[in-house]
Amino acid sequence: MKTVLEVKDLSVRFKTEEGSFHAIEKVSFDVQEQKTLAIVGESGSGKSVTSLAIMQLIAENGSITGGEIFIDGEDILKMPRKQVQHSILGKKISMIFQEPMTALNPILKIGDQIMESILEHQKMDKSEARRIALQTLKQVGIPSPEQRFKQYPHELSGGMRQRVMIAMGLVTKPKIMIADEPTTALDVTIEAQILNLLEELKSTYRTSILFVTHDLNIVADIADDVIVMYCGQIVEKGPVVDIFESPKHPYTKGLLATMPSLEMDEKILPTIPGSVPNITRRPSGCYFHPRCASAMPKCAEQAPGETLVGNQRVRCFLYEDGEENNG
Amino acid sequence: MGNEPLLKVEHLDKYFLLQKALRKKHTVYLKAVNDVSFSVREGETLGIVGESGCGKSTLGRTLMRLYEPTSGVVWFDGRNLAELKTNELRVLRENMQYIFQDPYSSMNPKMTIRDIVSEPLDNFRKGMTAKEKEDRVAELLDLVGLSREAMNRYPHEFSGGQRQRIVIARGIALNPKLLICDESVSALDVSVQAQIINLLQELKQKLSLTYLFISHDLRVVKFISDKIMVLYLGEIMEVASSATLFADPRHPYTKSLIRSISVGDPRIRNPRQILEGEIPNPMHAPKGCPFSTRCPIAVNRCSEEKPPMVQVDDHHIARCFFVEGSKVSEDTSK
Repeated sequence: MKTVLEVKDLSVRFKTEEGSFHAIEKVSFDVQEQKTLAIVGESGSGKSVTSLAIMQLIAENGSITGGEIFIDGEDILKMPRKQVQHSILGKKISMIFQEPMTALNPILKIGDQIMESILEHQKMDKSEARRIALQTLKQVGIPSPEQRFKQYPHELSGGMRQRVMIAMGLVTKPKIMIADEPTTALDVTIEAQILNLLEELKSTYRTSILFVTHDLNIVADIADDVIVMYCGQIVEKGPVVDIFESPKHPYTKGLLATMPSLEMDEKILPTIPGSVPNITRRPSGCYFHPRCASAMPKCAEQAPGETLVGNQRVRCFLYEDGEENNG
Repeated sequence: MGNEPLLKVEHLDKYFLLQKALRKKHTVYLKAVNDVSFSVREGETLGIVGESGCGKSTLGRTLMRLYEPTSGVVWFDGRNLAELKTNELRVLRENMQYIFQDPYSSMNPKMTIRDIVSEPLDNFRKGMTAKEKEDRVAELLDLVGLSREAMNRYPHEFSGGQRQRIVIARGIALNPKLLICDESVSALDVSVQAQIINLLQELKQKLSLTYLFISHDLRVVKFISDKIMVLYLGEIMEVASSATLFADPRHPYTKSLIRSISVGDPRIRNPRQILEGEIPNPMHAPKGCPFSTRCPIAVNRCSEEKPPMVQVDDHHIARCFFVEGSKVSEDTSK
């Protein structure tokens, strides 16, 4: 199988008034052709920073301090900036955001925005670009695309705007699309529509998806593989069925347990105590240890490395020998 | 107490005037809440679900009289709220409290936690001494799982979950009878959301509270509610006990809603049943059943005529022409 995106030991630092801090530390993963990889995490986990770093969209006070990002075999961090912008970003890889209203230009017509993203990366005349734009709008399920073409973003509903975003992301036929919480702002029935659409487009366009979300239910539905992030680190990684059937890291276990399910009869939900620490106040050792029920004395002192347990990679001392030790 | 419900709403309407015209028939209203009736008994949790624009928040706010109702009667604790004069609203405010979605914007950033939590006491318990207030604030913070030290700090020093705890502490300061929780856990992280849900459950027991729990998240609503009301474009589609609504939904909209949520199991990836289309603009709501434009079983009549509210059993109602028939189609689809 072909790898379309490979991220190796990626680290991003942010400068703040209180000093300089790592938003993500040595994050590594890869996405295979036509597969969906989900990055799950709570706020402050670094899941969005990871995707923004890949798109070279890190805010000014942040910088990539190490690592490599291979897109379609080329390390984009070693390429000249201009070349990356012209031939990689928006072409081989595109991104759709949570809030399409802020991602779309409010004073440009839908059609012009889509044509812009086509003409930016491909040499063709305007009428050809227009044809592709209309065809893509149709493919993402926008009724009467000719009419929508002339409308402004505010004239569309949230679900329709998200479809326009997806169309914009697809017009260049990217190898991989990053979707950062694309359904979080949408209603449940619209969310279901958009997820089904993404699934459908994945096979029509033969594209891979890097899906960033906090919602484990969505992960269960769409992902092939999963990365669980906590405080800027990957704490667990593996195929979706393994992660859901036998989560290894105490954080993953906790996250799965706190999901209220429709079958549940109990009146108290299992919880993870405390909350995600602020980036400026990350604890020593394993970042999760203050909230972890299985924490041992050494968890506060040393940071655990990754170990392979079955199909999963886990960052936890419980699995130091490749299996769960109960002592 | 007795058998009288704590809150009883009869034919409540809240219309917003969009365009005034000389002749009444040309005046355009947005019917945000349309002929809504329900009741909640003391100690009960009523979940209100629906998608954006269904009127769930407008309903909550109209009950609080943050919006003046257009028509209808609201009985709260034996009193008709519409008849309360502005100065009598204090009674209402004391017993009915609102917890908003966003704990960041519902606290004044320049006030300490002590001032925030004791503000209701300052307004309603004028006889309390400073010492008594301080003790009460400490007690409230303890109830919501925060330490006394929190008192001298400011909102920005707390995480989202802790802020929501503070907002809840303020909400229960006057021992209200009813709490209206409007998407109160929606903005929180998953792990923190579970903590706040548990806190709400715990407080309900300890303080014998009654909740109106407004949310778009069906899983959370099922978990926390005794009874659930499904709204669509300002109208009630179905009301049933939490268990019944999920086991035996009768309205096509409720069915679609339930089917559109994921099972949360990667091994069961049956494609979600997709409800086509979107909520129509409330200004152009269909004349008949509001759901008729998206309903998979709609017939011509549905867009012309308002369907009746059908009593499925004592505690279960659904507004649809096909309530009986839909039971049969449910069986065949499995």
